[in-house]
Amino acid sequence: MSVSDESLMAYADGEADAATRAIIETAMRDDPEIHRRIEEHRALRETMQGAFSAVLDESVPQRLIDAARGPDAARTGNVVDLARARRAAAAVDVPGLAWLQIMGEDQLERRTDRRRGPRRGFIQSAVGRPFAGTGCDHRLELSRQNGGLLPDVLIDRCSCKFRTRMS
Amino acid sequence: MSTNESAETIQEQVVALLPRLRRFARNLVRTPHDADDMVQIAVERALLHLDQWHRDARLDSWLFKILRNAWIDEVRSRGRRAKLFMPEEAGENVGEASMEREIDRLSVEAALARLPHDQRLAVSLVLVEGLAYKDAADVLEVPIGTLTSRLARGRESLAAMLRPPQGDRS
Repeated sequence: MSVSDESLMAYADGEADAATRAIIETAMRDDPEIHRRIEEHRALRETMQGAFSAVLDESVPQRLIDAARGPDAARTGNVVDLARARRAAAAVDVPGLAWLQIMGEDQLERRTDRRRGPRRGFIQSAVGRPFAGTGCDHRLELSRQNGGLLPDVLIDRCSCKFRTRMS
Repeated sequence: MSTNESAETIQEQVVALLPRLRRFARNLVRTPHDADDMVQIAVERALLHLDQWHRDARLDSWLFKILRNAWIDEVRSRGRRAKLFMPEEAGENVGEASMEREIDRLSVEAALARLPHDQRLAVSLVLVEGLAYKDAADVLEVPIGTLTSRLARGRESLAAMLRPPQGDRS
């Protein structure tokens, strides 16, 4: 009896309907090759699961947990409100804020549009972690001495396109 | 979303799903940092559009769909596919895992990365994530017949790539 490979695959995955299961189980008794092919499907499934199972045991980066809990959760952490920071920049000359202003709205908007996310989300990302996908190691960190309002810029390892704008 | 409390409950469910989202992203993007970026983009999008999630639908399937769409957007808009699949970066974190197991893992990742996008998604969702055909078809927004066809072709290619050379078979 000829059984299609898609039927054997569905059987191995537990997706075959009752009629197909009956046909395959009957065929399996007469043809060890069918049994071997089903075992191959099962083995491949185990191989694929095994290859990526270690990811489940890794620690989840805090930035992802913050993202999943939303802006309100992240706002209680190291987050700069841009309008608030700009008001502060008007009163105090701070290199980090100057860079934020140099970078400007257009950069923020462009980044936000690409990800289709809220501007606040991007700003949180910019403050709390390296820029995703740019390879940039610089980051803004809140200056705790100033009540979490004024950011410092760490540029010692920066080699990204923003460096020239900052120097 | 009727109350903030229910939104928070869903957010905690999203947190609980992060390991699986990271694993799915790792199937699509081999560098861990880039894969996590994809997860973050997907999660931020999901929270923005929570009102579009129907409570009778599976949250994991909905998130997988958003992640899959984010990945496709990223590949299309930035043309970064070659960069995202640099094989030399895959072995950076060997750590203390046995070399043999590590080689096996890298072989599987490399084979998966060589599949066409549609087959890779089908294989990842069914074989790695363990989704039922119906749910995987829903994530990919295709009929079940299309899903099983992609899955069968992906499986066949993977089996061929991972099969030991004739001389090594015992």
